[in-house]
Amino acid sequence: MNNTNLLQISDLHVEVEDRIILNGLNLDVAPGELHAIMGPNGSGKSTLAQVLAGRDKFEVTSGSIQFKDSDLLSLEPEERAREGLFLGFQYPVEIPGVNNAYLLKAALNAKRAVNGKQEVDAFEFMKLIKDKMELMQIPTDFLNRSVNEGFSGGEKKRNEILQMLMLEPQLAVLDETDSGLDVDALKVVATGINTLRSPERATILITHYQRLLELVVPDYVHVLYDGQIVKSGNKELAQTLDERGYDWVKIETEKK
Amino acid sequence: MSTINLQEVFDASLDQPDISAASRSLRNEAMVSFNETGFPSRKHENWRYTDLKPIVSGEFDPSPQPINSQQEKKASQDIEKSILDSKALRLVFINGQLSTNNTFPNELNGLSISKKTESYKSIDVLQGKELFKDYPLAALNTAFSQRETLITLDEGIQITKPLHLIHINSGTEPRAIHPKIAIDIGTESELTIVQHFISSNPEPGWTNSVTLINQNKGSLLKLYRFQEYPHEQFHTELLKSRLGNNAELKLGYVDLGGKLVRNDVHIDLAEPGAACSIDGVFLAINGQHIDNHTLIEHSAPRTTSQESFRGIIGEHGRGVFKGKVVVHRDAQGADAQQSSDNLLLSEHGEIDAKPELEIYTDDVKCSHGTTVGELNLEQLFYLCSRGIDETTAKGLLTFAFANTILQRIEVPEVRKRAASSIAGELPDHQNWGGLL
Amino acid sequence: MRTEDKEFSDLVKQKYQHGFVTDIEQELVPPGLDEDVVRLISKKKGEPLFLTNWRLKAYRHWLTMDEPTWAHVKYTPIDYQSISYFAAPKNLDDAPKSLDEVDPALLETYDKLGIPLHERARLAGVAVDAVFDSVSVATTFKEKLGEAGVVFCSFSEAVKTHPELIEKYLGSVVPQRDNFFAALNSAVFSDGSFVYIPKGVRCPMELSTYFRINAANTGQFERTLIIADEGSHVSYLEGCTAPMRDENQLHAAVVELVALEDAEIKYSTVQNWYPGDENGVGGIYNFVTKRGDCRGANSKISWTQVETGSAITWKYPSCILRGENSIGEFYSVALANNYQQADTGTKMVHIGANTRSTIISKGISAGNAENSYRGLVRIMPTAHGARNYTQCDSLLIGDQCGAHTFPAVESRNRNAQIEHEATTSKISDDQLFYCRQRGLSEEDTVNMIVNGFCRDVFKKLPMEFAVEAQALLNVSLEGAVG
Repeated sequence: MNNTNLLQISDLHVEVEDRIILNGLNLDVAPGELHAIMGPNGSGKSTLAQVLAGRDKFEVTSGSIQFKDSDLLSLEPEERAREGLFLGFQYPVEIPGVNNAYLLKAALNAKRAVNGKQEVDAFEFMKLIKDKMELMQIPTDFLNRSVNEGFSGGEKKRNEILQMLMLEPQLAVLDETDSGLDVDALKVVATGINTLRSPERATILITHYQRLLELVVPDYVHVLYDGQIVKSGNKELAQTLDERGYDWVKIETEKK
Repeated sequence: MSTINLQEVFDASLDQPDISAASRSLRNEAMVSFNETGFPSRKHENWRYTDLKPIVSGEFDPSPQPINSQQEKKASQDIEKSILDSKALRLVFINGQLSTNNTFPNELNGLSISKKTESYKSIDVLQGKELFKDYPLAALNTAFSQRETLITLDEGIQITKPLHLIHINSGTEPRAIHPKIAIDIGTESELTIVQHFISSNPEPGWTNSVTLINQNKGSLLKLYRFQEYPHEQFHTELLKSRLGNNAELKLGYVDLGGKLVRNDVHIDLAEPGAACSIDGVFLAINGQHIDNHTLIEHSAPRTTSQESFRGIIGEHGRGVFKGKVVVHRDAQGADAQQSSDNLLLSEHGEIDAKPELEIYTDDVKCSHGTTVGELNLEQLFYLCSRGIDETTAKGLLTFAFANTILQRIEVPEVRKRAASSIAGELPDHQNWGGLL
Repeated sequence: MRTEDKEFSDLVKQKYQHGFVTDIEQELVPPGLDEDVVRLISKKKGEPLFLTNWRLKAYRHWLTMDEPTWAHVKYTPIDYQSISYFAAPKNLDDAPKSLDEVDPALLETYDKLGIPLHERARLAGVAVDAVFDSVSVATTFKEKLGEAGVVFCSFSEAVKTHPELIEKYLGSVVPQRDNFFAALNSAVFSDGSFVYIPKGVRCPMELSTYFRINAANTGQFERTLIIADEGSHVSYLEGCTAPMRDENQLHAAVVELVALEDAEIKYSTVQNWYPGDENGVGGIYNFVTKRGDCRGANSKISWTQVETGSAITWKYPSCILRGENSIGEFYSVALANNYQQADTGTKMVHIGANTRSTIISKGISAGNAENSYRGLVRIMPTAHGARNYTQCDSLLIGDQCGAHTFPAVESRNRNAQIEHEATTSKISDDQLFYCRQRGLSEEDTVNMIVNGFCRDVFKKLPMEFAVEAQALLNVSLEGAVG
């Protein structure tokens, strides 16, 4: 076990309804790093994100995941969140009747309680969130709206990043946070992600396209194919993929 | 005037040699049940808004009478006038009896038509004590039905040409007729039926129809029930259907005529993946009373139902709608959507709507909506601001309200006839140009 | 088997918090009901002849009536002869002049219930007319209300002090013959609250009554009458609890509201009668008739209810919108857990022109419970320009419960606009996972979503009630989720 790693995924096998999705995946993420995971549709990218966050419809048949000092797979979803793992959802769910401010405050306080910190009150909460909302270009009336209800695609994604900024996770896993965004919204989201980059934190960006990676420069780029990481490289790999598509990676993999 | 004794007429009608033992026993059971329940009264929750008194006191004679050639000729002329599609497969029933004047061959491509005399399991499970108790009028139909017509379609056959069933209530004295149709659709087969109720009778008549349907796995049935009586006729009916695995039923109800109309629909989505849709339009004007009662049971997982009824209620008209959806405990993943929208256009109209949901499992998506009101004033203003005069605009909007549902009817002849009949009741329709 | 369901059911089971029995000497009339009992009740309360006769008339009619069966509830038949129809704390004869004179055991009872009767009443500015079983024993803030001309007292007291108002209004909204339970109540009602707000007066404080069923084998039959005279305004709060008992107890109350021209009555209820245990043993049968009459033009009656208790709830707070431009509102949260059965809703009868009504109903079913919304919106031919909007939503928690919607719409006026919407849903796995990923526990997530679901109703409650209602909902949901 390499203690310098924040996250260590070893030989991960995952199935859903008897279908193998992840087939011996390995990935190490050290603090300060930003990893981009790319790959064609159906390669298992979103499954990886959901497994990291503890979605129980996926069955981990073998392998292990170490997060900080814990066996991640033994933790409940909320425990993982409180330990500092954040998932930016590809499709954030709507929760009618529950307003954004309430959810965020409850989430923040749940995490603070674990760390022995006092709850924030409404006043402090507003102080904390004000700048972040400006950064994400979210109007203030948004706090009183129900979670994701009636949001546009772009608003939902910006809301995910806002939540991330508030919760300051040690490891953020962002699942297709760039999909469905126009150029301006993409810049806002990128700024949000870059703001949180620091030597203690790490980020896993799951994406289809290279365009986000021009704004959020990754340290590593991995190609996920058929449930495994079949190729790793630096940011140039992302450019190559953008120019040549995934077919050459597939051919290369199948040759092996 | 002598009061008709139903039991005596019944006994006499059974006193014929060609009635099979099976049918005799079923009809007896039905008569016993009807004698116990009698005509439903307004005390019964399902009959709160519809009073059958005009039918009960109407002295409608249910006794079987042979059709003479003169009647046949008269009826044929009437039918000719109201025919929707001269090239369609066609079965004609005059006063409940199959007429020789039909164009349908007895067997075509696995589709067969016969008189049901012996028991037929998949249909007979749909009828019996329980049905007779819940629907006394269906019991009466069974007791007095002269001919139960069985329509069966073999496995794996798609028939694109619609089968038209034309029912005509014809004659001079007030008659009660009890048409009864049983339909069995084979696995993965498809059929389209148009059930067309007409009458040229200036005298009141009563048609009390029953349709029993069994749909096997993966079958598709489209059934359009099109009623265009004169305003003196009475009509009651029950359509009961059971759907197997992934079977689909598309029902369309169009009621334009009739003085008192009561349609009961009972659909059992009995096996996983079964789906049904019911689209209905009715016009209740000039003292008409149109009542639609539907019951959809989701008895198995992943069953879906979609129901929309639209009513236009004019002078002294009354519309009634009750739509009940039951999602049983095992029906996880059920999806039921229902809407009932009503335009109340007269000072003296009335609409009563009861959309009901009964749900016994949590994994469901169910909703219903009801609206009652006048035309949308903003839409009206919009049309007027484009230079259309108010009367025409009102007519147009009323038509558009019904047309939304009519568009879903997949038999063009029915759709067009219904559209032009509704338009015909609306002011200034002649100015609509190419809209129809 | 969904693992989440399993985990739900493992959550801590929370017991009914208000289950204790107060040991006070009771004066009980032996079980059974006949004309003599009706006369006895009337006599014990020293009622005038007109009221005795009124009761007898109700009783005689009740004998001819059948218990209604149309509601979506099942229960073992009630034996009306085994119920005692009168219970009063015995030391009432020398009635308390102030709180200090009230039996300390009684005060302690209220204290355990958390009723803001003594210190808290003052702090919260709430006047409480506490009904202990059937007889009102303590009333506070009478003086302050008296200055404003507001009459707020027990029903029995009002019979003595304001017989003319009683004779004029009693039964004018809910007649003796209205229904089986209302007729029974009319015959044997023991006590309740009376409120009269004079012309043009805005009641200076929220009026609050707590009902509590204490004695075993006693039915509780309160009768509440609130009259808001022209241009007046009142907000009335009612809370209900009952001790735990194995046997079922009957509660058949009648509430009548009269709003004259330009008057407004806001009536809020938090009902937390004992619901029975997790196996459905015991609990209150709550058969209540509540109706408001918007008699004058521009009047308004608003019902807000949070129903979390009772084994059976049968209750349809309604509005007769007689006056032109009058407004009726019904905001309801009904939660049924374990083996509870709730059949509740409202009737809005539009008679006057331009009358408006709003119905917001939120039903939550959990465990093996059955929860039904039953409603009627009736537009009479005279109600030109009437408007109704109805929204009723059901939330199902677990797959052994039932959620039903039985609305009826009857319109006889072309100018009326009626809209009804209903939805049924459950808390989705996606919603649960999303919140847990943000660090919330499953239980907190369920509570948060349920409270969010009820938000539109809670915001209609007075502040201190809203907080209580929210807490009550969380407590009631615990244990049987799944």
